[in-house]
Amino acid sequence: MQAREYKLLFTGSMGAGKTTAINVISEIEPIKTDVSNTDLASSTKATTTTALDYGQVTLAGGNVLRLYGTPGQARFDFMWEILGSGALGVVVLVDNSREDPLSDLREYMHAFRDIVKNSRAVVGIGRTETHPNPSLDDYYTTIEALGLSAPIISVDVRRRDDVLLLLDVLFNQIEATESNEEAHPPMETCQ
Amino acid sequence: MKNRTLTTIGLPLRLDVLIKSHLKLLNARTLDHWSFSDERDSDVAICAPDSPLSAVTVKRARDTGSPFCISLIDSRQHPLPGTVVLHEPLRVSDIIDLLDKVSGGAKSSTAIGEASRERIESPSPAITDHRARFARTLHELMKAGSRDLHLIEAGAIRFCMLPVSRSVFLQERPSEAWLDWILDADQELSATVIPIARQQQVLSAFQHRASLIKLLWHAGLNGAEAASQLDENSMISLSRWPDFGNLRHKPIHLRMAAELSRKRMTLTQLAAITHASMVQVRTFVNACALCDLIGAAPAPTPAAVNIATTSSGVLPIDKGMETPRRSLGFLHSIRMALGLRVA
Repeated sequence: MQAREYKLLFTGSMGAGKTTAINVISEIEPIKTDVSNTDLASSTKATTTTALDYGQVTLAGGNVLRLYGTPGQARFDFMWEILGSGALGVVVLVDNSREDPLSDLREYMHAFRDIVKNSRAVVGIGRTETHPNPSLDDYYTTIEALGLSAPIISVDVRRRDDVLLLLDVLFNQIEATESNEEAHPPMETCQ
Repeated sequence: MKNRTLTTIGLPLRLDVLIKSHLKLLNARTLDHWSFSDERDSDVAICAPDSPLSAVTVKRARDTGSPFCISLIDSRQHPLPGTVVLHEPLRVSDIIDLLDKVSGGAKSSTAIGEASRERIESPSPAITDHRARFARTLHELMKAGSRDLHLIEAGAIRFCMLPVSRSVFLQERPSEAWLDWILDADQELSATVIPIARQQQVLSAFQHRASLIKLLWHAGLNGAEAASQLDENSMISLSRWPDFGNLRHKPIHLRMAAELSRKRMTLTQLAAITHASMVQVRTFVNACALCDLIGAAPAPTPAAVNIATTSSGVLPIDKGMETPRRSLGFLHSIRMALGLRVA
Protein backbone atom coordinates (compact mmCIF):
# COMPACT_ATOMS: atom_id res chain seq x y z
CA MET A 1 0.00 0.00 0.00
CA GLN A 2 1.45 3.34 -1.03
CA ALA A 3 2.47 5.63 1.79
CA ARG A 4 0.23 8.66 2.19
CA GLU A 5 1.49 12.19 2.58
CA TYR A 6 -0.10 15.07 4.43
CA LYS A 7 0.97 18.69 4.19
CA LEU A 8 0.92 21.40 6.82
CA LEU A 9 1.80 24.94 5.96
CA PHE A 10 3.41 27.54 8.22
CA THR A 11 3.09 31.08 6.95
CA GLY A 12 3.44 34.60 8.24
CA SER A 13 5.58 37.69 7.98
CA MET A 14 9.35 37.75 8.17
CA GLY A 15 10.50 37.04 11.72
CA ALA A 16 7.18 35.61 12.85
CA GLY A 17 8.73 32.25 13.68
CA LYS A 18 7.89 29.91 10.80
CA THR A 19 11.35 28.37 10.61
CA THR A 20 11.51 28.08 14.40
CA ALA A 21 8.10 26.41 14.59
CA ILE A 22 9.09 23.76 12.05
CA ASN A 23 12.40 23.27 13.84
CA VAL A 24 10.76 22.35 17.13
CA ILE A 25 8.52 19.62 15.74
CA SER A 26 10.37 18.20 12.76
CA GLU A 27 12.02 14.86 13.35
CA ILE A 28 14.60 15.56 10.69
CA GLU A 29 17.01 18.41 10.65
CA PRO A 30 14.88 20.95 8.83
CA ILE A 31 16.06 21.98 5.40
CA LYS A 32 16.40 25.72 5.46
CA THR A 33 16.94 28.17 2.66
CA ASP A 34 18.27 31.12 4.59
CA VAL A 35 20.49 33.89 3.36
CA SER A 36 21.65 37.10 5.00
CA ASN A 37 18.85 39.53 5.52
CA THR A 38 19.46 42.72 3.60
CA ASP A 39 15.93 44.04 4.17
CA LEU A 40 16.65 45.49 7.59
CA ALA A 41 13.81 48.00 7.23
CA SER A 42 11.33 45.11 7.47
CA SER A 43 13.15 43.08 10.09
CA THR A 44 16.38 43.14 12.03
CA LYS A 45 16.86 39.38 11.71
CA ALA A 46 20.28 38.28 10.61
CA THR A 47 18.93 35.76 8.14
CA THR A 48 15.72 35.27 6.20
CA THR A 49 14.15 32.40 4.27
CA THR A 50 14.34 32.85 0.52
CA ALA A 51 12.57 29.78 -0.75
CA LEU A 52 10.89 27.61 1.83
CA ASP A 53 11.65 25.57 4.91
CA TYR A 54 10.93 21.89 5.03
CA GLY A 55 10.56 19.45 7.87
CA GLN A 56 8.73 16.19 8.34
CA VAL A 57 7.22 13.79 10.83
CA THR A 58 6.95 10.08 10.11
CA LEU A 59 3.56 8.58 10.89
CA ALA A 60 2.45 5.02 11.51
CA GLY A 61 2.41 2.84 8.43
CA GLY A 62 5.16 4.79 6.74
CA ASN A 63 2.93 7.78 6.07
CA VAL A 64 4.49 11.21 6.26
CA LEU A 65 3.46 14.62 7.53
CA ARG A 66 5.35 17.24 5.54
CA LEU A 67 5.87 20.67 7.05
CA TYR A 68 6.41 23.61 4.74
CA GLY A 69 7.31 27.10 5.79
CA THR A 70 6.58 29.80 3.24
CA PRO A 71 9.03 32.62 2.70
CA GLY A 72 7.76 35.66 4.54
CA GLN A 73 8.71 38.34 2.06
CA ALA A 74 5.87 39.55 -0.11
CA ARG A 75 7.81 39.10 -3.34
CA PHE A 76 7.54 35.34 -2.83
CA ASP A 77 3.77 35.40 -2.51
CA PHE A 78 3.40 33.54 -5.82
CA MET A 79 4.54 30.45 -3.92
CA TRP A 80 1.80 30.70 -1.31
CA GLU A 81 -0.98 29.43 -3.57
CA ILE A 82 1.20 26.61 -4.85
CA LEU A 83 2.13 25.52 -1.35
CA GLY A 84 -1.41 25.94 -0.05
CA SER A 85 -2.89 23.61 -2.62
CA GLY A 86 -3.81 20.29 -1.00
CA ALA A 87 -2.67 21.35 2.44
CA LEU A 88 -4.27 19.77 5.49
CA GLY A 89 -4.24 23.20 7.07
CA VAL A 90 -2.29 26.39 7.53
CA VAL A 91 -0.72 27.91 10.63
CA VAL A 92 -0.53 31.69 10.31
CA LEU A 93 2.10 33.20 12.60
CA VAL A 94 2.09 36.90 13.41
CA ASP A 95 4.75 38.89 15.22
CA ASN A 96 3.01 41.34 17.55
CA SER A 97 6.13 43.49 17.77
CA ARG A 98 5.94 44.47 14.09
CA GLU A 99 4.83 47.91 13.04
CA ASP A 100 1.42 46.87 11.73
CA PRO A 101 0.71 43.25 12.65
CA LEU A 102 -3.00 43.58 11.86
CA SER A 103 -2.07 44.42 8.30
CA ASP A 104 0.17 41.36 8.22
CA LEU A 105 -2.76 39.23 9.37
CA ARG A 106 -5.03 40.66 6.68
CA GLU A 107 -2.47 39.83 4.03
CA TYR A 108 -2.26 36.17 5.00
CA MET A 109 -5.99 35.83 5.53
CA HIS A 110 -6.49 37.04 1.95
CA ALA A 111 -3.78 34.80 0.58
CA PHE A 112 -5.20 31.67 2.22
CA ARG A 113 -8.85 32.68 2.23
CA ASP A 114 -10.18 29.37 0.91
CA ILE A 115 -8.33 27.36 3.54
CA VAL A 116 -9.51 29.70 6.28
CA LYS A 117 -13.13 29.48 5.08
CA ASN A 118 -12.89 25.69 5.32
CA SER A 119 -11.93 25.97 9.00
CA ARG A 120 -8.44 24.70 8.34
CA ALA A 121 -6.47 27.62 9.72
CA VAL A 122 -5.19 28.69 13.11
CA VAL A 123 -3.48 31.97 13.97
CA GLY A 124 -0.61 32.19 16.44
CA ILE A 125 0.38 35.58 17.81
CA GLY A 126 3.94 35.85 19.07
CA ARG A 127 5.62 38.32 21.43
CA THR A 128 2.37 39.29 23.16
CA GLU A 129 4.07 39.35 26.58
CA THR A 130 6.46 42.12 25.57
CA HIS A 131 4.07 43.75 23.09
CA PRO A 132 0.50 43.39 24.41
CA ASN A 133 -1.01 45.60 21.71
CA PRO A 134 -2.77 44.93 19.43
CA SER A 135 -4.79 42.63 21.69
CA LEU A 136 -6.30 39.33 20.61
CA ASP A 137 -9.66 41.10 20.50
CA ASP A 138 -8.19 43.46 17.89
CA TYR A 139 -7.13 40.48 15.80
CA TYR A 140 -10.59 38.92 16.02
CA THR A 141 -12.15 42.22 14.98
CA THR A 142 -9.80 42.31 11.98
CA ILE A 143 -10.61 38.87 10.65
CA GLU A 144 -14.32 39.26 11.40
CA ALA A 145 -14.28 42.40 9.24
CA LEU A 146 -13.01 40.16 6.42
CA GLY A 147 -16.00 37.87 6.90
CA LEU A 148 -13.73 35.12 8.18
CA SER A 149 -13.19 33.32 11.45
CA ALA A 150 -10.32 31.36 12.91
CA PRO A 151 -9.00 30.55 16.37
CA ILE A 152 -6.32 32.98 17.56
CA ILE A 153 -3.86 31.88 20.24
CA SER A 154 -0.92 33.60 21.97
CA VAL A 155 2.18 31.49 21.47
CA ASP A 156 5.93 31.38 21.76
CA VAL A 157 7.00 29.12 18.89
CA ARG A 158 10.35 28.49 20.56
CA ARG A 159 8.35 26.25 22.90
CA ARG A 160 7.38 22.92 21.40
CA ASP A 161 4.21 22.75 23.52
CA ASP A 162 2.99 26.02 22.01
CA VAL A 163 3.52 24.80 18.45
CA LEU A 164 1.75 21.55 19.31
CA LEU A 165 -1.11 23.57 20.79
CA LEU A 166 -1.56 25.37 17.48
CA LEU A 167 -1.69 22.06 15.66
CA ASP A 168 -4.03 20.54 18.23
CA VAL A 169 -6.43 23.45 17.80
CA LEU A 170 -6.23 23.01 14.02
CA PHE A 171 -6.90 19.27 14.21
CA ASN A 172 -9.86 19.76 16.53
CA GLN A 173 -11.31 22.23 14.05
CA ILE A 174 -10.89 19.76 11.19
CA GLU A 175 -12.53 17.01 13.22
CA ALA A 176 -15.44 19.22 14.20
CA THR A 177 -15.93 20.25 10.57
CA GLU A 178 -15.73 16.71 9.22
CA SER A 179 -18.01 15.19 11.83
CA ASN A 180 -20.63 17.88 11.39
CA GLU A 181 -20.60 17.55 7.61
CA GLU A 182 -20.97 13.80 8.03
CA ALA A 183 -24.00 14.07 10.30
CA HIS A 184 -25.73 17.08 8.79
CA PRO A 185 -25.89 18.66 5.36
CA PRO A 186 -24.05 21.98 5.02
CA MET A 187 -25.78 24.65 7.06
CA GLU A 188 -25.34 28.26 8.03
CA THR A 189 -22.66 28.69 10.63
CA CYS A 190 -23.34 31.03 13.47
CA GLN A 191 -21.83 34.54 13.46
CA MET B 1 -5.53 21.58 68.05
CA LYS B 2 -3.30 18.68 67.03
CA ASN B 3 -0.31 18.59 64.71
CA ARG B 4 -0.94 16.28 61.79
CA THR B 5 1.02 15.39 58.68
CA LEU B 6 0.20 14.90 55.02
CA THR B 7 2.30 13.26 52.35
CA THR B 8 1.98 12.58 48.64
CA ILE B 9 2.59 9.32 46.81
CA GLY B 10 3.55 9.17 43.14
CA LEU B 11 2.22 12.61 42.20
CA PRO B 12 3.90 14.69 39.52
CA LEU B 13 6.05 17.57 40.73
CA ARG B 14 3.46 20.12 39.64
CA LEU B 15 0.81 18.68 41.96
CA ASP B 16 3.29 18.14 44.76
CA VAL B 17 4.24 21.82 44.70
CA LEU B 18 0.59 22.85 44.51
CA ILE B 19 -0.42 20.76 47.50
CA LYS B 20 2.47 22.15 49.54
CA SER B 21 1.35 25.67 48.62
CA HIS B 22 -2.24 24.91 49.56
CA LEU B 23 -1.16 23.52 52.93
CA LYS B 24 0.55 26.80 53.80
CA LEU B 25 -2.63 28.72 53.10
CA LEU B 26 -5.26 26.51 54.64
CA ASN B 27 -3.85 26.03 58.10
CA ALA B 28 -5.74 29.04 59.41
CA ARG B 29 -8.97 27.33 58.39
CA THR B 30 -8.57 23.73 59.51
CA LEU B 31 -9.43 22.14 62.84
CA ASP B 32 -5.89 20.85 63.32
CA HIS B 33 -2.49 22.11 62.20
CA TRP B 34 -1.24 20.35 59.04
CA SER B 35 2.28 20.13 57.70
CA PHE B 36 3.80 18.37 54.74
CA SER B 37 5.94 15.32 55.42
CA ASP B 38 8.03 13.06 53.21
CA GLU B 39 7.35 10.15 55.56
CA ARG B 40 5.00 7.42 54.39
CA ASP B 41 3.55 7.00 57.86
CA SER B 42 1.86 10.38 57.74
CA ASP B 43 -1.76 10.84 58.79
CA VAL B 44 -2.96 11.43 55.24
CA ALA B 45 -1.53 10.28 51.91
CA ILE B 46 -2.67 11.85 48.65
CA CYS B 47 -1.98 9.22 46.01
CA ALA B 48 -1.60 9.04 42.26
CA PRO B 49 -3.81 6.07 41.34
CA ASP B 50 -1.43 4.79 38.67
CA SER B 51 1.63 4.66 40.93
CA PRO B 52 2.68 1.22 42.25
CA LEU B 53 3.69 2.89 45.53
CA SER B 54 0.11 4.10 45.92
CA ALA B 55 -1.23 0.55 45.71
CA VAL B 56 1.26 -0.52 48.40
CA THR B 57 0.23 2.40 50.60
CA VAL B 58 -3.47 1.63 50.23
CA LYS B 59 -2.87 -2.01 51.16
CA ARG B 60 -0.93 -0.94 54.24
CA ALA B 61 -3.78 1.41 55.18
CA ARG B 62 -6.24 -1.47 54.89
CA ASP B 63 -4.08 -3.65 57.14
CA THR B 64 -3.08 -1.07 59.74
CA GLY B 65 -5.70 1.67 59.47
CA SER B 66 -3.20 4.34 58.47
CA PRO B 67 -2.58 6.50 56.53
CA PHE B 68 -5.88 7.95 55.37
CA CYS B 69 -5.61 7.46 51.61
CA ILE B 70 -6.95 9.82 48.98
CA SER B 71 -6.84 9.23 45.21
CA LEU B 72 -6.19 12.44 43.29
CA ILE B 73 -7.61 11.93 39.81
CA ASP B 74 -8.22 13.85 36.61
CA SER B 75 -11.15 13.30 34.27
CA ARG B 76 -9.70 10.14 32.74
CA GLN B 77 -8.37 8.30 35.76
CA HIS B 78 -10.06 5.89 38.15
CA PRO B 79 -9.50 6.00 41.91
CA LEU B 80 -7.87 3.18 43.82
CA PRO B 81 -10.44 0.96 45.54
CA GLY B 82 -11.22 1.94 49.09
CA THR B 83 -9.89 5.48 48.77
CA VAL B 84 -11.62 8.80 48.94
CA VAL B 85 -11.53 10.79 45.73
CA LEU B 86 -10.20 14.27 45.11
CA HIS B 87 -10.67 15.64 41.61
CA GLU B 88 -8.33 17.84 39.65
CA PRO B 89 -8.28 20.80 39.51
CA LEU B 90 -7.52 20.89 43.21
CA ARG B 91 -9.53 23.26 45.39
CA VAL B 92 -8.47 24.48 48.81
CA SER B 93 -12.02 24.08 50.10
CA ASP B 94 -12.11 20.39 49.18
CA ILE B 95 -8.81 19.74 50.90
CA ILE B 96 -9.99 21.58 54.03
CA ASP B 97 -13.17 19.48 54.09
CA LEU B 98 -11.21 16.28 53.85
CA LEU B 99 -8.60 17.17 56.43
CA ASP B 100 -11.27 18.27 58.89
CA LYS B 101 -12.94 14.90 58.48
CA VAL B 102 -9.70 13.19 59.40
CA SER B 103 -9.39 15.52 62.36
CA GLY B 104 -12.97 14.65 63.29
CA GLY B 105 -12.02 11.02 63.73
CA ALA B 106 -12.23 9.36 60.33
CA LYS B 107 -9.60 6.65 60.80
CA SER B 108 -9.53 5.11 57.37
CA SER B 109 -10.68 5.85 53.92
CA THR B 110 -13.55 3.41 54.24
CA ALA B 111 -14.88 5.29 57.25
CA ILE B 112 -16.29 7.97 54.98
CA GLY B 113 -19.69 7.12 53.59
CA GLU B 114 -21.02 7.72 50.12
CA ALA B 115 -22.74 10.95 51.06
CA SER B 116 -19.50 12.45 52.35
CA ARG B 117 -17.63 11.23 49.30
CA GLU B 118 -20.06 13.02 47.00
CA ARG B 119 -19.69 16.20 49.02
CA ILE B 120 -15.95 16.08 48.68
CA GLU B 121 -16.20 15.54 44.94
CA SER B 122 -18.52 18.51 44.49
CA PRO B 123 -17.96 21.69 46.47
CA SER B 124 -20.82 22.71 48.69
CA PRO B 125 -23.38 25.12 47.29
CA ALA B 126 -22.17 27.71 49.80
CA ILE B 127 -18.64 27.52 48.43
CA THR B 128 -19.70 27.74 44.80
CA ASP B 129 -22.00 30.64 45.71
CA HIS B 130 -19.04 32.55 47.16
CA ARG B 131 -17.00 31.91 44.08
CA ALA B 132 -19.83 32.81 41.77
CA ARG B 133 -20.50 36.13 43.55
CA PHE B 134 -16.83 37.00 43.59
CA ALA B 135 -16.28 36.08 39.95
CA ARG B 136 -19.47 37.76 38.73
CA THR B 137 -18.59 41.00 40.49
CA LEU B 138 -15.20 41.07 38.82
CA HIS B 139 -16.81 40.11 35.52
CA GLU B 140 -19.27 42.98 35.72
CA LEU B 141 -16.48 45.41 36.49
CA MET B 142 -14.52 44.09 33.53
CA LYS B 143 -17.50 44.47 31.21
CA ALA B 144 -17.99 48.05 32.33
CA GLY B 145 -14.46 48.67 31.00
CA SER B 146 -13.68 51.53 33.32
CA ARG B 147 -10.34 53.29 32.97
CA ASP B 148 -10.29 53.89 36.72
CA LEU B 149 -8.09 51.87 39.03
CA HIS B 150 -10.21 49.94 41.51
CA LEU B 151 -9.08 48.63 44.89
CA ILE B 152 -10.78 45.29 45.50
CA GLU B 153 -11.16 44.14 49.11
CA ALA B 154 -12.80 41.11 50.71
CA GLY B 155 -11.66 40.57 54.26
CA ALA B 156 -7.89 39.97 54.23
CA ILE B 157 -7.80 39.93 50.42
CA ARG B 158 -6.71 43.10 48.67
CA PHE B 159 -5.69 43.70 45.09
CA CYS B 160 -6.13 46.33 42.39
CA MET B 161 -7.96 46.02 39.12
CA LEU B 162 -7.88 48.07 35.94
CA PRO B 163 -10.98 46.94 34.01
CA VAL B 164 -10.13 48.55 30.67
CA SER B 165 -6.88 46.61 30.37
CA ARG B 166 -8.32 43.49 32.04
CA SER B 167 -5.44 43.52 34.49
CA VAL B 168 -5.12 42.87 38.17
CA PHE B 169 -2.26 44.03 40.37
CA LEU B 170 -1.30 41.80 43.25
CA GLN B 171 0.91 41.86 46.31
CA GLU B 172 2.36 38.46 45.49
CA ARG B 173 3.05 36.43 42.40
CA PRO B 174 -0.19 34.68 41.45
CA SER B 175 -0.28 30.91 41.83
CA GLU B 176 -3.14 28.45 41.60
CA ALA B 177 -3.19 28.24 45.39
CA TRP B 178 -3.49 32.01 45.60
CA LEU B 179 -6.29 32.03 43.02
CA ASP B 180 -8.17 29.41 45.02
CA TRP B 181 -7.61 31.41 48.17
CA ILE B 182 -9.14 34.58 46.83
CA LEU B 183 -12.01 32.72 45.21
CA ASP B 184 -12.86 31.13 48.55
CA ALA B 185 -13.17 34.49 50.29
CA ASP B 186 -16.32 34.26 52.34
CA GLN B 187 -16.74 37.97 52.88
CA GLU B 188 -18.45 40.46 50.67
CA LEU B 189 -16.32 42.05 48.02
CA SER B 190 -15.99 45.83 47.82
CA ALA B 191 -14.59 47.81 44.91
CA THR B 192 -13.32 51.34 45.54
CA VAL B 193 -12.29 53.71 42.78
CA ILE B 194 -8.86 55.16 43.49
CA PRO B 195 -8.49 58.87 42.61
CA ILE B 196 -5.87 59.52 39.94
CA ALA B 197 -3.76 61.50 42.38
CA ARG B 198 -3.39 58.44 44.63
CA GLN B 199 -3.08 55.71 41.99
CA GLN B 200 0.70 55.59 41.87
CA GLN B 201 0.96 55.48 45.62
CA VAL B 202 -1.61 52.67 45.90
CA LEU B 203 -0.09 50.68 43.04
CA SER B 204 3.35 50.77 44.65
CA ALA B 205 2.05 48.16 47.11
CA PHE B 206 0.87 45.83 44.32
CA GLN B 207 3.92 44.96 42.27
CA HIS B 208 2.73 41.88 40.39
CA ARG B 209 0.59 42.39 37.32
CA ALA B 210 -1.58 39.49 36.15
CA SER B 211 -4.40 38.85 33.73
CA LEU B 212 -7.96 39.27 34.98
CA ILE B 213 -9.02 36.80 32.29
CA LYS B 214 -6.81 34.14 33.87
CA LEU B 215 -8.48 34.74 37.22
CA LEU B 216 -11.99 34.56 35.78
CA TRP B 217 -11.10 31.49 33.70
CA HIS B 218 -9.78 29.75 36.81
CA ALA B 219 -12.95 30.73 38.68
CA GLY B 220 -15.18 29.28 35.98
CA LEU B 221 -13.29 25.99 35.80
CA ASN B 222 -13.48 25.72 39.58
CA GLY B 223 -17.16 26.04 40.26
CA ALA B 224 -18.06 29.69 39.81
CA GLU B 225 -21.20 29.80 37.72
CA ALA B 226 -21.27 32.75 35.36
CA ALA B 227 -24.94 33.56 35.36
CA SER B 228 -28.22 31.84 36.05
CA GLN B 229 -29.46 32.13 32.45
CA LEU B 230 -26.95 29.54 31.22
CA ASP B 231 -29.30 26.64 31.88
CA GLU B 232 -29.11 23.34 30.05
CA ASN B 233 -31.59 24.41 27.36
CA SER B 234 -29.95 27.73 26.49
CA MET B 235 -28.63 27.81 22.95
CA ILE B 236 -25.09 29.07 23.14
CA SER B 237 -22.11 29.48 20.87
CA LEU B 238 -18.54 30.58 21.25
CA SER B 239 -18.01 34.05 19.80
CA ARG B 240 -14.23 33.73 20.13
CA TRP B 241 -11.85 31.01 21.22
CA PRO B 242 -10.31 31.12 24.68
CA ASP B 243 -6.64 32.03 24.45
CA PHE B 244 -5.42 28.54 25.26
CA GLY B 245 -1.85 29.75 24.92
CA ASN B 246 -2.33 31.61 28.19
CA LEU B 247 -5.08 29.65 29.89
CA ARG B 248 -4.80 26.28 31.61
CA HIS B 249 -6.80 23.73 29.65
CA LYS B 250 -7.36 20.06 28.88
CA PRO B 251 -7.74 18.33 25.51
CA ILE B 252 -11.52 18.14 25.99
CA HIS B 253 -11.65 21.95 26.18
CA LEU B 254 -10.18 22.22 22.68
CA ARG B 255 -12.79 19.79 21.44
CA MET B 256 -15.62 21.74 23.03
CA ALA B 257 -14.29 25.03 21.68
CA ALA B 258 -14.10 23.59 18.17
CA GLU B 259 -17.73 22.43 18.29
CA LEU B 260 -19.13 25.48 20.03
CA SER B 261 -17.43 27.90 17.65
CA ARG B 262 -19.16 26.27 14.69
CA LYS B 263 -22.79 26.48 15.73
CA ARG B 264 -25.20 27.16 18.55
CA MET B 265 -26.16 24.27 20.75
CA THR B 266 -27.33 23.44 24.26
CA LEU B 267 -25.08 22.17 27.01
CA THR B 268 -26.65 18.74 26.65
CA GLN B 269 -25.92 18.68 22.93
CA LEU B 270 -22.35 19.77 23.52
CA ALA B 271 -21.86 16.96 26.02
CA ALA B 272 -23.30 14.42 23.56
CA ILE B 273 -21.16 15.53 20.64
CA THR B 274 -17.89 15.74 22.54
CA HIS B 275 -18.53 12.84 24.96
CA ALA B 276 -17.69 15.22 27.80
CA SER B 277 -19.40 14.96 31.15
CA MET B 278 -21.95 17.60 32.10
CA VAL B 279 -19.56 18.79 34.81
CA GLN B 280 -16.84 19.32 32.20
CA VAL B 281 -19.29 21.10 29.90
CA ARG B 282 -20.64 23.36 32.64
CA THR B 283 -17.26 24.39 33.98
CA PHE B 284 -15.91 25.04 30.49
CA VAL B 285 -18.95 27.09 29.47
CA ASN B 286 -18.88 28.99 32.76
CA ALA B 287 -15.23 29.81 32.28
CA CYS B 288 -15.91 31.03 28.73
CA ALA B 289 -18.91 33.07 29.90
CA LEU B 290 -16.92 34.77 32.63
CA CYS B 291 -14.34 35.69 29.99
CA ASP B 292 -17.06 37.11 27.73
CA LEU B 293 -16.63 34.49 25.03
CA ILE B 294 -20.16 33.10 24.95
CA GLY B 295 -23.10 34.27 22.89
CA ALA B 296 -26.46 33.05 24.22
CA ALA B 297 -29.99 32.92 22.90
CA PRO B 298 -33.05 32.22 25.07
CA ALA B 299 -34.03 28.58 25.37
CA PRO B 300 -36.57 27.71 22.67
CA THR B 301 -40.07 26.58 23.63
CA PRO B 302 -40.60 22.82 23.48
CA ALA B 303 -42.64 23.18 20.26
CA ALA B 304 -39.91 25.19 18.60
CA VAL B 305 -37.31 22.62 19.62
CA ASN B 306 -39.18 19.80 17.90
CA ILE B 307 -39.42 21.59 14.60
CA ALA B 308 -35.95 23.16 14.56
CA THR B 309 -34.25 22.52 11.24
CA THR B 310 -30.66 22.33 10.14
CA SER B 311 -31.05 25.35 7.89
CA SER B 312 -31.06 27.63 10.93
CA GLY B 313 -27.66 26.43 12.10
CA VAL B 314 -29.30 24.85 15.15
CA LEU B 315 -28.94 21.16 15.83
CA PRO B 316 -32.33 19.41 16.03
CA ILE B 317 -32.57 17.78 19.41
CA ASP B 318 -34.82 14.95 18.26
CA LYS B 319 -32.27 13.70 15.76
CA GLY B 320 -30.16 12.16 18.46
CA MET B 321 -26.91 13.70 19.48
CA GLU B 322 -24.65 10.69 19.31
CA THR B 323 -23.24 12.04 16.06
CA PRO B 324 -21.30 9.39 14.19
CA ARG B 325 -17.85 10.65 13.37
CA ARG B 326 -16.23 9.73 10.14
CA SER B 327 -13.01 7.95 10.72
CA LEU B 328 -10.24 10.52 10.82
CA GLY B 329 -7.60 7.94 11.48
CA PHE B 330 -4.88 10.02 9.87
CA LEU B 331 -5.37 12.77 12.45
CA HIS B 332 -5.10 10.20 15.21
CA SER B 333 -1.90 8.97 13.59
CA ILE B 334 -0.51 12.51 13.41
CA ARG B 335 -1.42 13.15 17.04
CA MET B 336 0.31 9.96 18.13
CA ALA B 337 3.44 10.87 16.19
CA LEU B 338 3.53 14.34 17.73
CA GLY B 339 2.71 13.13 21.25
CA LEU B 340 -0.61 14.97 21.48
CA ARG B 341 -3.21 13.63 23.90
CA VAL B 342 -6.64 12.83 22.52
CA ALA B 343 -9.72 14.32 24.21
